[in-house]
This record gives sequence, structure tokens and C-alpha cells, in this order.
Amino acid sequence: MSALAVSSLLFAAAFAFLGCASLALSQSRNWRAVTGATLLTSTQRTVRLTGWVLLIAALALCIARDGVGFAALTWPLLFAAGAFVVAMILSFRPRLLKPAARLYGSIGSQ
Amino acid sequence: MGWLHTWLGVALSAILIAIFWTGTLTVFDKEIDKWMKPELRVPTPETVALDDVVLPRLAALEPKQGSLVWIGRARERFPAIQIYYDDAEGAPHELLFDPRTGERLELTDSHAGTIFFFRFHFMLHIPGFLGYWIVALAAMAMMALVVSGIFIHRKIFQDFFTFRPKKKVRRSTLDFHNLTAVIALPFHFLLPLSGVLILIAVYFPWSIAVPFGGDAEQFEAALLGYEHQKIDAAGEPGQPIKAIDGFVAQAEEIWKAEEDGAPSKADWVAIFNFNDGNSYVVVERYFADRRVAIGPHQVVFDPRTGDIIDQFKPLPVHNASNWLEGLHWIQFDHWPLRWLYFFAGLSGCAMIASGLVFWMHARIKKAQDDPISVRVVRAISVGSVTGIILASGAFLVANRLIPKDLAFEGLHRHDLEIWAFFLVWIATFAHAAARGKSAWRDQSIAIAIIAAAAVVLNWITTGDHPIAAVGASIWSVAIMDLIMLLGSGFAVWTAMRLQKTERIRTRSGAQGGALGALERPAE
Repeated sequence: MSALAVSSLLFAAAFAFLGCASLALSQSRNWRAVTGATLLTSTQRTVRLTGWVLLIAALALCIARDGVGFAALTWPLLFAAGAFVVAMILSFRPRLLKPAARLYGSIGSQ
Repeated sequence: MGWLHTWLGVALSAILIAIFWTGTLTVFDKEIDKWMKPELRVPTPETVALDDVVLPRLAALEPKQGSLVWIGRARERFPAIQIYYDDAEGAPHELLFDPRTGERLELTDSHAGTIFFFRFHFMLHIPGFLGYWIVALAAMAMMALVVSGIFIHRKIFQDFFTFRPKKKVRRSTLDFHNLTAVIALPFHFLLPLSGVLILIAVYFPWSIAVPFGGDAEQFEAALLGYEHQKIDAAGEPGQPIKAIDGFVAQAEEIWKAEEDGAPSKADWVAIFNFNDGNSYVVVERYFADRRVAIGPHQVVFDPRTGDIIDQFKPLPVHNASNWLEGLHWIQFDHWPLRWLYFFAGLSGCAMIASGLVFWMHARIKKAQDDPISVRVVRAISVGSVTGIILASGAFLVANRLIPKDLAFEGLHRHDLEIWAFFLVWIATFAHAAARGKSAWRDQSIAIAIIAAAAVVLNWITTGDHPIAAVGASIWSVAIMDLIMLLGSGFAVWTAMRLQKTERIRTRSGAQGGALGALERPAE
């Protein structure tokens, strides 16, 4: 695989993971588990929107890399992998997602 | 919905896990072949001149005049040239050749991944068509299970990422079941659907009967392109075919142009009416490298003139089903996606197993006063989950232990390995019935031992331990050994966790009382 092929898939995986993490954080229960604080409605909107944007960006990368035929397979599976990792983090080490929450918190409070 | 989901799940969990597990292994069936048949651990050269390597040997073998000779190209994942031919008496033979040297490859007689695990996956090693039908019904049930599961799991988005390992075992098992199910929902639905589609001619013979009046030849000509088989042998010997590489190159150029420049390798070359006056050559590509969709692409050549006498490619109406079948066959050249499939398959196994375990706990709690039914339920659960994994390990270990030349009266060497699989599998059910609760821990430890043993035996019998294999670029063997070591470690960790839970359970006495806010079926 070429460097472009490798990096585009890695970025797609990263975006899928960060997108899932954001969608998870946009749920009050998870936000509290990670930060210990309450999730503000304004922040929730930002977090959720960013999550979806990241997931769509991952899809776009998959399509650009391999075409729609393959992207229809790689993207849902990258999503599944990302969601699984996020669920495991939330179950065992929720604090690992704190940097992401802090980033959103600083955006949301502006 | 709840009733449907529970009873379909209970009745078919064991079979569904077997199908999902062997399916997951089949993702890497050719790599398992390389592990179990070490003669295949040869690197594939970039281009293989069939004219130099195959044709002279074919002539020396003297296939029956007028018969079909089939030549399989050497690929990265299967680096041997295959020749199927009929000898002068009409008896079929299969030979394999090393693509670099042209030497005969005498493979270890094993059904390994491409025959045993692959076929088990869709027909359960049951003779006749019964296995096919059981798998089809299980696949239909799987789709019903997925849909009914969605209905039951009302808070599907709210609880999307929920997994609470520290809660009571029924809660955390159900959480895990829901998690592994929802995150890969399209996968869990599309795989059974596409699987049934692949074997549609078996389950839905009216698909041939109605449009083609039951005429299988017309069906094949329309959908599989075997129109050219109407060219009969002349009955008199013709010129022997001297060159087919040119035909292969020509066909690959045609396909490359059709694929907008993406290289498209031929899968096999078939010589019809061998050595006859009416012989012809078919170059065929069935599994594309850079496409999901499968389907026959053929270019038919007249070897006397070098002309193309026929071409075939799938009709556009076939595109959707070809894509669906292709997503199940997984023969494309996309390693990251192949690995994603492997993990999705494992998640499917985990989903079904956790569903079964959840139901098992509920059942055991209800049937406290019926120890026999408790034993039966537990035996089936353990045997279907850890049992089949252990049996697969036994299959690999038996492969390394049974000498290459061993055969008994009426039993091939490959049968002995399959016996090992089934005997161990049956033993796991018996062991679980006898041992009760600690069977899970026992079998986890056994899996850890057998997986490590397989790696060690590979080292002892072939010398290709992971570091050596990496050095020789036999990646598939190195990675397979590493996966087995990881699996072994995971099994040890599981056994330790089960041991700890057992200690806590016996210390604090029987668990009773309310089990928290569990989802209740709608009916």
C-alpha cells in the first residue's frame, strides 16, 4: 500500500473513533462519567454536530480512497471498531476522554 | 418480539456460533492453509510464465484427448499453480506446482481452511443437503433475530455505548450482547442475507425454473457465460497448444480497460477439448482485486488463429447481487478491510455467545430445583462457545502431530484431523455436563494451552517460528502464530477472571434478589 493509501485509512479510522467519542460525550451520562460536570445544552449541540461531521469526513476519506463499493464496507466497520473502543474506554478508563471533553468545554463556553 | 428473539436465539445459538466462528476463520482460510500445509509457504513471483512452467508438464502428463484442463494461477494468498486434468482413462487428477521452479508440490493432505472450515461454514460437514438447509434456516433466523433485537432494545441510541462490566453478571452480559450487536448491525444483517443469496440456487430452485424453464444450461449461459461450451470436440487430434501467456495478457488488457486502468488479474485458464481439432482457451476472472462485486469475466480464444471468439461479462442486472455476494466472499485485495471483517466476525461470535450466556443465567435461576435441565443448558452453552474454539485448536494441533504420510485403511490423513476436531468438540459438551459451572474456566485454560501448543508445534515441525517467518517474509504464518499467542493470553486472562468471580461468589453466598432494571420483552 502506498503512503497515501495507508494515511488516508488511518485518518478515516481516527475520524471514525473521534466521531464516536464525540457522539458518546454528547450524552449527559457519559459526559458526567468523563468530566464529573454537567453537560450544557449549548455544548451538547456543538459536540454532537462535530461528531457527525467527523463521521462524515471519515466516510468521505473512505470513498476517496477506494470508491463507493468498498467505502460501503470499510466505513461501517471502521465505525463499529471506533464505537467499540469508545465503549471500552467509557467502561474502564473514562478519564482518557477528558482531553476531548476539555476541548469541547473550552469551545462551548465561548 | 421478545418471545421470538429468545426462542430463535436459544434454538439456534449453537449453530449460529458455529457458522459465525468458522466464517470468521474462513476470512483467513488461505492463510490457515499455509499454516497447515507448510509446502505452500513459498513466495509468489511477480509474473509466472505458464508457457514455460505449465504447458511442457501438461504435455508430459498426457491428459485425455477432448477433455477439460483447468489451470489455476498462482496468487499471493495461494502461491501454487493448480492443474486439474483427466488422465487417459478419464480419472481426475489435481496437481500443484511451485511457480518459481516448476517443481511438483506435494502438499500435506489436510482440508485446512479452504475446505474444512470453509465448507463447515455453509453446510456443517453434514452429508447431502441437510447441512445447507440448516445453515439457510439459521441465516434467516439470524436476520429475524437482528430485526427483533432492534425492536426489543428500545433505547438503542441512548444506550449505544453502554457497557457496565462491574454490575451483576446478567446485566453486564446483556450490555455486552447489546453493544456487540448494535455497533456492527449492518454487518450482522448483511452477512446472513448475502450468504443465503450465494446459495440461492439451492434454496430457491424456482429462480432457475421460472425464468429459464428449468433449463440449467440456459441459466448458465445467461448468468455464468458458458455459452462457449456448445463447441464440441471434433474427435480428431489437433495441434498441441504452445502458448497461453499471450492470451492471458490480452484478456487482462481488455479487463484493465474495462476497469478504468485498475489492473485485473486472471484467476484461471481453462483449455476445452484438449489436444482436439476444436480446442479453445478460456481465460476467466471471477474474483476482482479492486472491486467488491464478483462475477465471471471470460475471454475465449481460438488457439490456432489467436482470435477472440467469445467474451462474457456479467449483465448490469446482476450488479447488485454480485456486489452483495462479493461482500460475503471477501476475495478482494484489501487487507485492512479483511482484518475489519475478522474483528466484525469475532464481534458476531461474542454477540451470539453473550446472548446465549444471558439466557443461560436466566434459565438457571428459574430452574434451580431442576439440576438436570440446568446441566443440559450449561453443557450446550459451554460446548457451543469455548467448545468449538477448543476443537479448532485441536484441529491445528492434530495437523502438526499427524505424520505427513499417515493413512489408515479407508481413512485419509485429512479425515484424521477432522476426527480430532469432532471428538474434541463432543468431549467439551461431555466435560461441561460433568463439571458444571467451572467448565468455562477449565475450557478457557484448555484453549490457552492448545493455542500455545499449536504455535510451539509449528516451530518444532517447520522451524517457522514468528521471528523466522518474518525474516523469510512468510507474514501469514507469523501473524497467525501471533494471533494464537494473543488468543492464548486472552484465554488465560478470562480463566483468571472466572476464577476470581468464582471465589467472590462462593464467599458471599448465593446471589439473590432483584436484578436491577433489566429490559423486559414486550410480550
